[in-house]
Amino acid sequence: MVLLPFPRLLSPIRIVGVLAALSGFVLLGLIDRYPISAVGNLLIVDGLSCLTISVAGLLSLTLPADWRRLAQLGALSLALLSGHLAGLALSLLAVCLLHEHWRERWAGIALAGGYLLIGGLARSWLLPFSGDGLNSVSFLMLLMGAVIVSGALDLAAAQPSPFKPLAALAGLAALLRLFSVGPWNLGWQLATLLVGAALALSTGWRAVTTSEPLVSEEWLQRSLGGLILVGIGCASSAGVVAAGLLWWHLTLRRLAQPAAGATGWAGWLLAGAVPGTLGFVALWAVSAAAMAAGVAALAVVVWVAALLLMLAAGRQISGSVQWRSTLGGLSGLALGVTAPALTKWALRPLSDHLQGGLTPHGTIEPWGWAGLLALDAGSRTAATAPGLALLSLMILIGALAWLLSRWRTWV
Amino acid sequence: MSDLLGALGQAWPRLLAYPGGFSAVLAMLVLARIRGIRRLDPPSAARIIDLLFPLCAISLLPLPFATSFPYGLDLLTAQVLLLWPLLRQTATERQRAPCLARYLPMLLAGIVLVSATTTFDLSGWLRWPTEPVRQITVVLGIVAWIVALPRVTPPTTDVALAGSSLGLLLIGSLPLIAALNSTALGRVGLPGMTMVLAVSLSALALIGAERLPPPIASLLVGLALVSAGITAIWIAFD
Repeated sequence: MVLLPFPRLLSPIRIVGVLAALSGFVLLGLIDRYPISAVGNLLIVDGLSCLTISVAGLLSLTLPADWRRLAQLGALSLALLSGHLAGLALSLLAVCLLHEHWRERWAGIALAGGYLLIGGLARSWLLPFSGDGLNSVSFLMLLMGAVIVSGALDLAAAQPSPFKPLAALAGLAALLRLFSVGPWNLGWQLATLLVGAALALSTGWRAVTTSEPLVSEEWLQRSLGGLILVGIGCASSAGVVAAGLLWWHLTLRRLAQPAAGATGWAGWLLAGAVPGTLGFVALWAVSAAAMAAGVAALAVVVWVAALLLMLAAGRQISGSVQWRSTLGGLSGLALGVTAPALTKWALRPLSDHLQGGLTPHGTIEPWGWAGLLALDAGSRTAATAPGLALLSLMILIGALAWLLSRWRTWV
Repeated sequence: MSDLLGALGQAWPRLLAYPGGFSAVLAMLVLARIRGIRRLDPPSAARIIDLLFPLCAISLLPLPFATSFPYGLDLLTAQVLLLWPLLRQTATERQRAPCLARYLPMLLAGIVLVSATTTFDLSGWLRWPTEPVRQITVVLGIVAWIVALPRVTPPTTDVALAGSSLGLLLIGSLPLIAALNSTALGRVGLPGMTMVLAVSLSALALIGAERLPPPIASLLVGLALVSAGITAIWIAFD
């Protein structure tokens, strides 16, 4: 993992990264219930474009300043704004070809090939009208590309290569974009769920059993990629929201870099082991989405992977205290507490705009201000995460315990 | 926000008296005593913080007679809160490879109970299923859960782990309360008796499970898993 000298904030990639993140959020504010399409559907701005652009902008802040990263950021933004399948495919190809390693380049060819095949078989190359071109070969190419860029091939190696966040984001966003083309069949869902769960568990295990914090963090980020795949495989509104939350969690961890040194409390707030923090909400959401989709056994398996990640992140806590991990821990807490509002504002457009390709098997709803609630297809409660309520109660119990301990010393 | 503040205002009896607070501490002492621990260590400042997590989970369990609280827990949140002392302890021993195999039976038992109840929501575990296949799976799931507990939380003088142990035992008791409520005992209108009976039975089963040879324990968990598989197939074809 590359540790960044953050003070060099004025390098072009950082400025562009900040601008991209801001423009993603501004665009999110502009779109309401419906995506914006322009130039005869050649340009589409929807929840997925906004999320990807903002996350890519923030992720680019965690990468060494390099013209390739700048070009990748531009190509990725273009891919997610493109309403034409050829534009989407070529931009995805550009993102991956700009990498230094052939592994990502082959993944890019698979991703681009998948979309070009859909376009070739469909009556139209425009994204909203290409549903008849969906086929299993394209899907498998896209899944293969997404799995490769998530770092699955490193499982065969003793040490992982550095995680490539922009390539991973491109692969996983490409898979999410498939919901804009049309609905998935059950076999595709099953394949994505199994591959995602296997990737999350195996890399999570490697993260826990590694004693070197930076290596553990590399595995941990791959595991989060696997969990995002599970969220996508649920093919439901809940799954898509979970994928969005996990991307935020991954981005926050990369920005905060707790493996480089963190205080105990900041490290735990970033680990996802404290209910009410962003990490916990994200890990809970993916398991809740699997439960809401009716795959109970998978939901527990996913939760096992989540527990492994919490433990792996907890074992990383050491070293000298860094200001960014402290700030990251506090941000994780703030984002987790405001998760109901954030889900409604930033992630609802993501699931709403991909609705055409999603199943009704599960939604994640704000539970007032208290937390989040996962509902299954019959609107029955599948899982509950009352984050703010829990944190408030813990503060109350803590205050009581403190009073009791003081009383004991007074007496 | 006013809903949340109102709910927090109503939560005091839960935090101070039952199921958290005084009754939880008392139950922790009783459980430790019947597991052969004569005295729990007085908690240090760090262990008090560790104890907060299990106490919070116990306070929010949907046990009968507890004052109503609209924001209930699910298995995932409860498990994280209850396993927090163990998680922190394992995380601090960085140079030692974590022994994770001991958690496997509990996670498998979790799969069984979640498959049978089809929800993570713990208040949903108080609903006794109507189908016999599910009923059998729930019973086997309870057995598997309790059999798995001694491996996760062996008898210890640590007060935070004693809290974890009690919370996990109470989670296993929830479907048992539902089962007993569906019997003649529940129908005659004695819900308090069914709860006391369910928790006592669970505690006795825990003592028995501590003396169970590991192969038998694994066999019971495996049997419960098979039953969960049959239930899943039955649900799919129903």
